[in-house]
Amino acid sequence: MPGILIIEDEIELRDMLKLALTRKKYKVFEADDGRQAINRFKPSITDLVITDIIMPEEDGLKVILKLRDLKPAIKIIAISGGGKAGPGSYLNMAKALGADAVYSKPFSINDLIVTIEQLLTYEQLI
Amino acid sequence: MRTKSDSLPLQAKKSETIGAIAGGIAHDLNNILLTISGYSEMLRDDLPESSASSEKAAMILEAVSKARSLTNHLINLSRQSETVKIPVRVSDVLKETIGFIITSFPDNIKLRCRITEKEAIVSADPVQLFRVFLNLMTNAIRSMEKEGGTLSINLALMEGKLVHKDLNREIYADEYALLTFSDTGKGIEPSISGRIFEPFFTTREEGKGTGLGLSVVRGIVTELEGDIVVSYKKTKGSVFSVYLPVSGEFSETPGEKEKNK
Repeated sequence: MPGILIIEDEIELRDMLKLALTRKKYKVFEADDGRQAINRFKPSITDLVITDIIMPEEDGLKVILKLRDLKPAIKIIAISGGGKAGPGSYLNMAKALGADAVYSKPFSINDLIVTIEQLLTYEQLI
Repeated sequence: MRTKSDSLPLQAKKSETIGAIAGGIAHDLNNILLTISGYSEMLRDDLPESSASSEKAAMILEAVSKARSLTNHLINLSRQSETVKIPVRVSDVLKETIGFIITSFPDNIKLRCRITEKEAIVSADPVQLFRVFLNLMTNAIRSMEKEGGTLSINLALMEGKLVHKDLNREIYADEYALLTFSDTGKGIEPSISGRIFEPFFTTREEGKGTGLGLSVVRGIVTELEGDIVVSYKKTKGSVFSVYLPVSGEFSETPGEKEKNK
């Protein structure tokens, strides 16, 4: 089963995402923040990453750039609840830096799962 | 909120604080809302379709959607408090920025300011314009802080067709206010000159700079339908040129008219 890494500093939210994805039989890895994610990232068993943008230590935008270096084919979904500039600005930046899909919090978990399935199916076809 | 009597540095500080508080609340609320909506969606999927319990889960999702529009509203409000375009005399903002920075000007750096067009009006948020000028001056000072040097600032008017020739881009006004910030600092390496406006690009040591300053400056200038370019020598100094389309009439408030008499 494909492996998904969730990078999110809010533990309740991370637990919810983990449950939603394990219910769909994905293998889920977790990280508290960007720095931990990069340190723990295992390219061979991770097919997709869901990353928050505003986090302590290393933010999600830097994580996207580093992940692309470590595994160019990795699929990345950026999620953001905004901040001063609003979620749109951060997510536009995430897209420009190479995120395959972006979601503004709160979003539908079922929509997220459809996007994950599409990204990973496309991955298998090429 | 902003009032007419506030100085630009104070307005910048206030709107930054309001924006940060509103943005922080919206961010945290959006995280909580996603946790609620995520579990509610799972609950709804687990329950028999059209059952009374499934409808209750749907009601929670509906409430989340309403709360989301509230957090959007909060973010929009904080943005509105930040940017309001009004006719602004560029020289006034420039003078105010210099007045703000002059108190912390290092002794080994000279400042030369030449304003040949003091009546140029642009349609902009004066606070945002203040941020642009402050950022460019701070960068220039930083590039000279060890060796010392001279920061020269010029404000002049330039015909739109000459701007078109200079920049080779579409122009939006017959005339532009051209501001140049020249320093005699360490200059910019040609290999990095293409990247200096990128977000997170910084030449400062880790933890000392966010690398967001010039990308924010470019964002503000672009929003004003202006442009910013940099010219440099490898070893000595750089020149940042800001082109802002001149537009509109400056209408003084009765109080300001009285003050300017």
